[in-house]
Amino acid sequence: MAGGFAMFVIEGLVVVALVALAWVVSAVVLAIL
Amino acid sequence: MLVKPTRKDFKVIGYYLGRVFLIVAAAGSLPLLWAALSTEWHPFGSFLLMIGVFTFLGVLGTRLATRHPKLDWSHGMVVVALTWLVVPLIGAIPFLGSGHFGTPLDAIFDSVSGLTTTGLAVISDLDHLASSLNFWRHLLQFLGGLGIIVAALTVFAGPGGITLYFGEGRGERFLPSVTSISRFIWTVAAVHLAVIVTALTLVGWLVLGFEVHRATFHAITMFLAGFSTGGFAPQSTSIGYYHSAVFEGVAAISMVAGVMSFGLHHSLWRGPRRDAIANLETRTILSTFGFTLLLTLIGLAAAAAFTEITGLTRQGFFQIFSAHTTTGWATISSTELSGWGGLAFGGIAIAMALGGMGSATAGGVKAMRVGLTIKAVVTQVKQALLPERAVVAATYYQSGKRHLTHDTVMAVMTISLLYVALYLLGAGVGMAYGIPLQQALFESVSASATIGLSVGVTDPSMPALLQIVYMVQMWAGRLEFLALFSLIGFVYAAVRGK
Repeated sequence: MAGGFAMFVIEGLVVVALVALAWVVSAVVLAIL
Repeated sequence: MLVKPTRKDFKVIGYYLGRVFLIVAAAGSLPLLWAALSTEWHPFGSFLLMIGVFTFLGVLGTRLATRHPKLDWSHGMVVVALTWLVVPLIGAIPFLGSGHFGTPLDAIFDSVSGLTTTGLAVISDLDHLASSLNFWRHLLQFLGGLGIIVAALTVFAGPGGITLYFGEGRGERFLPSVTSISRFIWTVAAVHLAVIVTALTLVGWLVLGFEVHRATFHAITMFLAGFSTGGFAPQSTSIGYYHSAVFEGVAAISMVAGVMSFGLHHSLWRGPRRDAIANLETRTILSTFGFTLLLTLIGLAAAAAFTEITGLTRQGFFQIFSAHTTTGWATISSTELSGWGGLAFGGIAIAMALGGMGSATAGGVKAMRVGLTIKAVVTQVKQALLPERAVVAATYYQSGKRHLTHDTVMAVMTISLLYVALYLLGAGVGMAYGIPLQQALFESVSASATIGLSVGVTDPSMPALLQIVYMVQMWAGRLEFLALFSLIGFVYAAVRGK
């Protein structure tokens, strides 16, 4: 179960990182266009 | 010369089919219990009938042969193909009398779409469907995502069980025995179920203000669909129903867990964790995600669909993420999605076509094939540029360093081309019905790669032939062709063999 919670945290961090990437790309795209 | 299958071949196939049907009958007891607890007596009766049919066929099959007859490669493939044909047919029984499907074909369509983890639906008035039937739709996705056969192999794994495992579109053997692989898959699923259902219930209860039992129902169904990258949702407006970025974020975690190959799960759980990052498939899917995200965000910004950063990020990210993980949840309606057009539309279509990871719950071409194709092209270009005698060796990382061989490239190219052919098949039939190319291709890719995003082509009024074509696409796409060709070969040999 502890392993499962650790996985949940890792997968959560992946989502946060990808959202952050999308945010940065959006900001750049909006700034250029 | 084609060898005609003997009576013994049919008995072996019947025996293993029977074992699988008995497992599915046992799984059917869950919605039956749900219907009883919810006092939904009409669905209760239909679940009882479905379980009865599965049990009858299961007992009949297992009586055909002695215990654990030897299962060779071709038998295994035929068992897998037939399992994925028959289970959705019988699994549609509870839908038939529900009043939510115009024709039996509609009920079968949703059953096939559920089991193959596609998520396209022709059900009408979903928002008033009995909760036990709604649970069954999502449980079908969960069973299909993990693999009915994997479920069965956990209980029985006689000689040749690994054939059944490979036949279900899985190519990675990260533990020595098929039983240990199956049990690991179920452990991963059970642990994620506990953690993610708890998280989604808390969000539903504390953030959305749902009553606890309602929050739990939504959490369970959304987890079953998310972890299987299936894309069904308990409400007709998909995940957009919740209007909550927090809910979408937690649901996205279930998609991450679902899209990851079980080999990757194994690396992250039991180590070495370096494997997860070095893996070609991980690197490929992150690259293709970034590429398609960029295309979509540029397309949306250029079309002025969103002028502020929050809306652009949230809508662009979620649709691409859903498409690339092959889930199919949408935060916008199919009408809005079809209105996106241009680069954004293309970005999502590419994300769907190239999405998913092998040996996971996902469908589609899958990232490993994309990565290997790129490697092969780069190697060819290098070979062409270097002197004739130069030898260019390509390697890649997947549970250890491997050499890219000619045979691997051939296998990858063959399956990838078959997916392209499958995409074109549905698009062609769609266009024959007067659907514009862009929409026909989008919906066809969505069906073949088992995504579930729709631009409105799939609805209760769609032509029956197109429905059948989409069902074939979902079936072939989920099984990655091998089992399908084996079944065709078996039937041909039975008719024309000597």
